[in-house]
Order: sequence, then C-alpha cells, then structure tokens
Amino acid sequence: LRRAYLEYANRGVDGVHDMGGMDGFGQVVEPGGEIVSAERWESRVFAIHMVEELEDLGAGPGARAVREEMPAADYLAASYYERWLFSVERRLERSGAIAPGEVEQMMRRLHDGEPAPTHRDAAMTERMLAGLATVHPIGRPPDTDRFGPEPVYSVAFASCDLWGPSEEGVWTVALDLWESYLEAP
Amino acid sequence: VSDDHHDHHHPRPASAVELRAQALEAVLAERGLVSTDAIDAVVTLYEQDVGPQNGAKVVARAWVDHAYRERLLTNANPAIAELGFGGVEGDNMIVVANTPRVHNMIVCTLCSCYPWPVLGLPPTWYKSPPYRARAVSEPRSVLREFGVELDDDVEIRVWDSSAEVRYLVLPMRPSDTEGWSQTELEAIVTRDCMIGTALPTARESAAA
Repeated sequence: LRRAYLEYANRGVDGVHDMGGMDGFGQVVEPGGEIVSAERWESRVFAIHMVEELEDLGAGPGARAVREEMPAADYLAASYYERWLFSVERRLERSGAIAPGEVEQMMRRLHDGEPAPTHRDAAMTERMLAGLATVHPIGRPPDTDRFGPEPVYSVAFASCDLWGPSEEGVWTVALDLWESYLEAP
Repeated sequence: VSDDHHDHHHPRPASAVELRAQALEAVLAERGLVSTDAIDAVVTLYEQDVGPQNGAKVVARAWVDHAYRERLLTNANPAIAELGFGGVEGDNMIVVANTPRVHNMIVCTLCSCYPWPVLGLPPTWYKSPPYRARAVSEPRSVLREFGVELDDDVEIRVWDSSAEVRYLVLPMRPSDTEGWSQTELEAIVTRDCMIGTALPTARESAAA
C-alpha cells in the first residue's frame, strides 16, 4: 500500500501543491479563515473561471493542473484566487481567446483612468445559471489530454502505512485515485 | 497607484493582482466573450443561494426520515436532488455517516475540491496549506483546533476528494433534540459539521 501511495505521489502530482502530510504550515484555525473570499475581485475571478469552463473558452490541461505549473515559490506566495487568475489566463491564452500581453495593455488603460469596458448578454447569463445547476458526470484527470471519462477508485490506507506510527493512533485515509494512477501489483 | 483621478473612482488604490483581475474581465468584455451580467449572476448565486444552508436541509431531513437517510447513503445524488439541490462540483456525491465508532472528515490535499451544491464555496482555511497538509497526517490535532475531542476508540476516516467524487459528512443527531422540528434541526447543522471539523450541539436558541 505504501508503494502504491508513493507511485501515486510520484505520478505527476509530486510538487508543492501535493500538500498531504507536509510539515511547517502552522495552524489551521487563524483569523480570517472563515471567509470564502476577502475581496470583490476574488469572487469575480471565480466567476470568470466558471464562464471560461462552461462556455468552453479555454484550452489545454485543466485548471488545477495549470496552477501546478506555477513555480513552487510563486505557488506558495500566491493567494488562492491569484492561482485561479493564473490558471484562467493561461487557459484563455492557450485557446487564443486572449493574446499574450493583452491583459497588461488593458491594465495600463485602466490605470490611466479609462472606464472598464462592459458587455451584456442575457442569453449567456441564462446559460451560466442553467449550466451551474446541471450535473456534469464525465471526468478525467486534469493533467492529461486523454479523451473521455475515467473511473475513480477510493483507496483506503491505514495511516501507519503512510506516515508510520503516531501518538494519534491509527486512522484511515481514503484517497480518490484515477484508474490510470493505479498499477497492477 | 498615485493618480488622484483614479483614486476618485476607487475607495483605495487597486493592488496589482486586483488590477490584473479587472483587466482580464475588461479584455473579455471588450471582445464580447464574457458578459458582465453573467459574472454578476454567478457571483450572486454563490453568495446568496448556494451555501451550507442547503446541506443543512439534507442532514435535517436524514435525521427525521429514516427512508430518506437510506436513500441518501445508498445513492446521494438523487436524494439530494429531491430537495432541489445539485449541479457543478456535486456531480458525483457520496454521503458518509458518522456513528458512535466512526468520525468522517473531508479534505482536498491537492487544491480545494468541495461539494458546492450543498456547502457553497469553501472557507479560506479549507483551501489553505495547513488544512490540506495536516488533515491527513494529524487529524486529531486539527480537530482539537476546532474544539473537537473524540474518544480514542473512535476511528477517524479522512476522505481526500481530489478527483471526481465530492463528499458530505452526515453528522450524528444530538441526543437532546428529541421532538425538534426539521427546521429547528437545520439551524444546528453548521458547515463545519458537514466537513467533519465540528459536531452539532443542541442550542437553547435553536430550540426556542
């Protein structure tokens, strides 16, 4: 089991983002931890991400895999929604929806006091609200270009097989693993 | 940003990342790819309509209706849909029930997978490094931070939901809530109870 877990850890998801069991991050319960998003732009980045996904405006690996492309130091320094901004921008660039440098150019225009362009499309709003309420059961690992759904297995490990003995005793860690992350024994 | 004209339009200068986010939205609007009102609608949806109040209705119903509880634990999606909830990030739901011998917790060690239709968007602590790191490797220490002390003989099961399945914890109904209405019960089912980092408790105010 430990070998299977290590195989999993070494299979594309070995990086600073793969945080299970890492030391040194400190307390979970901290001031400010209760809120979903601290600032307005964060909620809007979330919404831009959802529009990009449901309107199929982006391309390339899935959003989480794109965030994992960030250099480790940048990933750790970035706030949660900064990582989302990074991934949605990259996916939009990769589809050609936006050109490299275009965002910087708009930043200069806004900084110079130009009002931000807006666009209204009631049909898109309706599509978004319908899409968000709809089940989308087909999935595949975000770090692959394989087409089509892939089964996911919940694989249970005894904590002592993953981390060794602990003063907390033994507990169960159940990992959801894509079929392609598993190896035949 | 030291431009006085700019400050006139903003209560405080925009940070670099905020300006970048505004610029991305502006580029997409200018190109007609993203509608400003669609962004507004998505933000409002998750601020007002989709949140842990939905999950609380699911849990309270399971507490008062044994047949519903069985449906929920056997095949969660249709049972949750019976109450009108479902959608993105709740596509493949599994509900895990706490018992006197088993306590469940959910985490996403890789990012922030979370059952949006029943819990809304996750709080900051859920998607931050300390919880992602420690929930799997020292769950009792994490629970202690939340004020939860479990007996030594309770098995903790940590569900790392980093693929397509989304989990919801069905907490145990507190024993001193007999005769409470479903609505009264909903009021004591907090978000953290359904993540597994808190236990519901009977409160006087909720029963009043």
